[in-house]
Amino acid sequence: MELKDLKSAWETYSSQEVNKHRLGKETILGLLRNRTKSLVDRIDRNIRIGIGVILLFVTYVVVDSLFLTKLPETIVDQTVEYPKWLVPIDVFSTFLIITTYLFFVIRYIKVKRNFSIDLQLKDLLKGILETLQTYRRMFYLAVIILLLNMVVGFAAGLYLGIKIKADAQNLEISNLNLSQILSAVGIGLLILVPLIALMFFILRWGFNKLYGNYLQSLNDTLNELDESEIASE
Amino acid sequence: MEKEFLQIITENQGIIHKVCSIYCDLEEDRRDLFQEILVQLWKSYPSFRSESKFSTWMYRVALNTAITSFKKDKRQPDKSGVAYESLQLAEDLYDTAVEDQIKMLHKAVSNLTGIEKSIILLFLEDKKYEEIAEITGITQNYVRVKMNRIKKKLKLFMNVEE
Repeated sequence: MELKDLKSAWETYSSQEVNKHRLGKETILGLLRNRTKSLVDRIDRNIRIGIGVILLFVTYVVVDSLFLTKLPETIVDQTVEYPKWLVPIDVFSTFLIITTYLFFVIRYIKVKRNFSIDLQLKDLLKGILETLQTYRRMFYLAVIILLLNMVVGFAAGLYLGIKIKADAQNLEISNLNLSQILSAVGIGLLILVPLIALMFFILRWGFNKLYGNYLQSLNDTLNELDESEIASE
Repeated sequence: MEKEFLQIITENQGIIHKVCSIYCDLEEDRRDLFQEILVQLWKSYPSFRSESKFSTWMYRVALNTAITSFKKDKRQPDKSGVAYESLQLAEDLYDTAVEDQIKMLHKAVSNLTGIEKSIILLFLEDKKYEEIAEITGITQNYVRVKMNRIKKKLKLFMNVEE
């Protein structure tokens, strides 16, 4: 079969298909009004949700430090001392979450500023890849910060547990049996490490499952453009 | 602006249908892609400048959307060929030879990459290399190189099928 035969077959077929699927203005308007979200739209939405979550988080931190820590003794056990070394870690991790998120949002806005669907294909592919990669970095950073918070929470819990035990025996922590402390730390780590690893792998698997194939296909298309440009020179 | 956009899209909707026809095997995917292209056209319409023809700009947006569209795993294109067997062509409009050619073309096209699909579509639409290059944003040389490869691929695939 010759390609020119295909051309005429295509002409007949495509004109019949166009007539079969032709839509009126009202239907087109309906489709526009009930628009579905594209991937980039969905990422935009997720980032806006992220900003909302960050604002809620900041509000919670402020309310917590101003009011919750001063609740009456009937609600909060005031005899349990909050370890002072946890304060700078807490402040640092909160600061880290907020600044890194804002950094990525600014970076994302910069990437998006030059992004338009009517760009040349190569620039469009680079734009989508950069958007997704920025989003992925932000996602991984959020996961790492979450895991760091878990470690800090674990350390605080462990410290308080040991402190309560020492107080019950009217002892200083330094006077406790070292093997007891080590076994408590060991058991804690045995639970914490696999839990953190499992969470990390589940979240990474989830991201790759959702976007892995898409990223791969975008990269393949970009490589195809690059290779063919070399071949045509 | 909405009225003007609706008018121009209604008149030129054939371009979107043809792009959907080349890129989608399933009716559901086709509807989704049609809507996605429509939305992208609407969103980028304010940036359309009359430096190029409207149809050139429309082809570019439609093809860019089709090439970069995000499909979830469960809706990957069916390459088994089953979908093509169920192509319903109006018998009174086609003779058997045309119907066979179209089925064969769809099967062969499903083996092409996203970029190759865009080039073959524009070639079938009788666009010159210069216009294909303008729509796809790639050099004319590259279009020629690609077109030769596509022709070889199509011929090979169709011969195998025959």
